[in-house]
Amino acid sequence: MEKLKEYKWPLITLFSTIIVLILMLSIGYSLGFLSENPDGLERVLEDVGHEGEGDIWTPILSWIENNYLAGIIGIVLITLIVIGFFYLNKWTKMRK
Amino acid sequence: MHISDGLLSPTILGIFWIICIIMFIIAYFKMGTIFKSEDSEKYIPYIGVLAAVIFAFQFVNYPIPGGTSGHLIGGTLVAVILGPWASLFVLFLVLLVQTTFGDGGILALSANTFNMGIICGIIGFFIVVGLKKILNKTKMNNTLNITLSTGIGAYLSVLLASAICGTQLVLSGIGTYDFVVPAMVIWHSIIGIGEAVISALIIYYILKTKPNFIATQKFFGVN
Repeated sequence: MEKLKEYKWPLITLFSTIIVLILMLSIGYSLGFLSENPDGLERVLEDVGHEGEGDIWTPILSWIENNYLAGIIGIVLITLIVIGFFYLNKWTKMRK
Repeated sequence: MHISDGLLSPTILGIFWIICIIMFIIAYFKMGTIFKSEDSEKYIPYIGVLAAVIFAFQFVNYPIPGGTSGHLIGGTLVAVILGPWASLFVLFLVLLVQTTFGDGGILALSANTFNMGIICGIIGFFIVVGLKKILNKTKMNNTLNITLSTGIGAYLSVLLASAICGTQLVLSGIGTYDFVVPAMVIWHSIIGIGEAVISALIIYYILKTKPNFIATQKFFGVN
């Protein structure tokens, strides 16, 4: 419980940010103001007449076609991976 | 600026994998400064939040006049907050998760990490530090100085990364140098404005509300 109190604000920030980001993505995709236009690199490749790239592998989460769902899963996944990575880093350096 | 698989030649990919692995080893030993204090564990959830923000912003494509779109890269922004070495890992992990959704290739992860993590992150950070030293000579206050340096640094780092991305494509046999590199830089000179504005605003907000969260205080004189 003491530990939880110590981490109160980081945890509140974590959850509130995730909720805000999910809302931002959901509103963006629902209202359609997010652009489907190609980004800078894709545009240059189109202009140069490049015919797309070959399939070297199938991205493991590419079955998620809904942008909103992909955004939520991605946000949760990256948060967990980054927190895990930095805790591991701290732990290994503390052991030394 | 996410390069897909099949675009870059094996030689180019190999070179950038070697560069990235060397940089990861250096970064691992150099980034210890943000973990020096006993209570530094408290900052780790915030780093997770920052990574989530970068991931979400890279997901959001805002329209750009001329039939293209832009999104935040966030390399310079993360580097100013966490330091250049920790930013490399954050950007790499964000790009890694994005490849699982098909945004950027798994083999091209090295080139993408080089462009967005090393150029926009590490090089972008030192551009910001240099700009701040120049702006220190003016009467501008420290907060505004860091904000402006971050905005300009983020913009310049995007231009540099786009030029290098174009060069990687040309060296892999896609298009000619005369067309691809100027085209990449021209489009990203427009896209970079969004990057600069968003980065500067976020830094300004952090400096005003929670300056302790800036792990690079010694570089910027944040109290």
